[in-house]
Amino acid sequence: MKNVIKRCVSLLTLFNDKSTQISTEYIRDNISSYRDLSDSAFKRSFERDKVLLREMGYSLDYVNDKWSIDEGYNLSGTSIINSIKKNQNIEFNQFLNTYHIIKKYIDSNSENTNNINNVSKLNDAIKEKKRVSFKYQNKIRKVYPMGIKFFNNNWYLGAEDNKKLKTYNLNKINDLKIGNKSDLHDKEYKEIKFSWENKDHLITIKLNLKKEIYLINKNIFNHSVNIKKQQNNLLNLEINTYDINGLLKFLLLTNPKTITLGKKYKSLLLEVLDG
Amino acid sequence: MVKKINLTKVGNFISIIKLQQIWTIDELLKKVDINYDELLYLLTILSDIYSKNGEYFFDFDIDAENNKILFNNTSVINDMETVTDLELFKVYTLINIINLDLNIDTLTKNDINSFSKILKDAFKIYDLENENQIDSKNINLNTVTTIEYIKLGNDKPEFYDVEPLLITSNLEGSVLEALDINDSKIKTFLINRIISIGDDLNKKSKQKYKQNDIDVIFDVKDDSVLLKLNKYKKKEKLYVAKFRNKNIAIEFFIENFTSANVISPDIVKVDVMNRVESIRALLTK
Repeated sequence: MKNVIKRCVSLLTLFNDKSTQISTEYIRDNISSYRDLSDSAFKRSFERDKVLLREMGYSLDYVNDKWSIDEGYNLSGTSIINSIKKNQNIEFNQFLNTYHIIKKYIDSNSENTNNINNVSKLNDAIKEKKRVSFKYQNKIRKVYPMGIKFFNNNWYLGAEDNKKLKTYNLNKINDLKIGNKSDLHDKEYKEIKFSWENKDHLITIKLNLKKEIYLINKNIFNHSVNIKKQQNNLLNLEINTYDINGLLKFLLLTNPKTITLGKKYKSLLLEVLDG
Repeated sequence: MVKKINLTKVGNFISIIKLQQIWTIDELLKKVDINYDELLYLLTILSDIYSKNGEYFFDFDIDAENNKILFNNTSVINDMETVTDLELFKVYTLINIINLDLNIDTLTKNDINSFSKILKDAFKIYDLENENQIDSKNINLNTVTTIEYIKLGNDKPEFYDVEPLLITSNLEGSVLEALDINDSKIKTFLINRIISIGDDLNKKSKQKYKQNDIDVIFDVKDDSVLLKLNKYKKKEKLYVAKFRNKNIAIEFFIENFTSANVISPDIVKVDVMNRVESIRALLTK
């Protein structure tokens, strides 16, 4: 592990000196512990180190733009801290100090990162108003990313696809590619509504269930409460939601005693239930 | 004794030593959350690294007599950023799940709020505070309290006297690690299953029961459901996963009914299908 850590820190220092388009040969020549390795051993070590750096939040990507003469590796993944550092309205050392104190009490090193490694790249694309493409549920999507949102232990990307704002679960985004061109739009969305694919139904449902069952399951789906009445431990609720999949999950988990819902939406829920 | 020092720990160390040139050793150990042996291990690793132009990555002097350490950092280390967007993003997520109240002198609630606001503005993050998501769970770390908690797979709350220690996350969500005062054991509690917190809770006796773990064979309609499982095995076209008990397995397959189907055992399959049929009956009325 000691050597791996040394190599990874050496890689970071190398990109610190010369942050863009570094060739594989340059990397090998300038890091002593790579230099003496055979071609195949170097390749294995370098790939392993890239994965370790990715787990930490760094992206080491090979850039091969057909319009550019240079090609090579770029290091990214620290644009947020750099932008905070440059912001004169922020007391940077105080920010960093708070960060380190909080870090002692919360453990963010869980392995439950899945595709949130994409967050940094998506965030840059949002700020630079770029277009991105990715594989989502077996289809290639080309969208304008607008914002991210946390919901029910998952991160979602809100993005405009064919002039419609859609929500994509970051865990299901694969093969993310960021376009080269910046400032492609001037769109702003104040609120990302959860709309799944092309369905966009506002559903109003009345139900009654135990209060504690509602409390532990309410974050399963995005909804707003119109009416809430409590009788003993039973809640009578009227809620609005656009999230039909989430609503079905909520109903399955909470098993309410009664529900009141339009016929059209009952059919929709049955359709989802039957896959 | 040197604990596992990983790359994240090294990054954290580099970020901290940039804050000031001279540290008292005790203060540095506390801040980085390591012991003296681990500090020496970190210093040994980092002092072996050279920057591209041949100078040491960093240089230090230890004055053990006066309990001090002096860092002569090069511009390379000062310019290098080890706090990644991903790390900030994960910290932001955890501090926004709950109303975190750190019981320490050096940090106020205002500091946490302003830290969170800076990150919210820096990331393009839309509101976490949906009406239905506001949780008034004021977890005061390192202070003994009582929590009312519904275990996974159950629907009745139980009461625990605990000392909250750490907030973390796993595949099931954000988690509170706390010392159970009565059992003298560290236990984990899913934060969204904590119903209430406070010393004034009307405690009821805690039921103790033990259930055995269970293997469930299932097929999947949507592969992403596998991301929610810690461990599973593929058996031809089917999958096998172990759950801590029958109730947890049932809850998992009810929640993910549209993505995975239970094949066996029947004690899980029947309960899942009964729940699905009960909802189907409500929808066809």
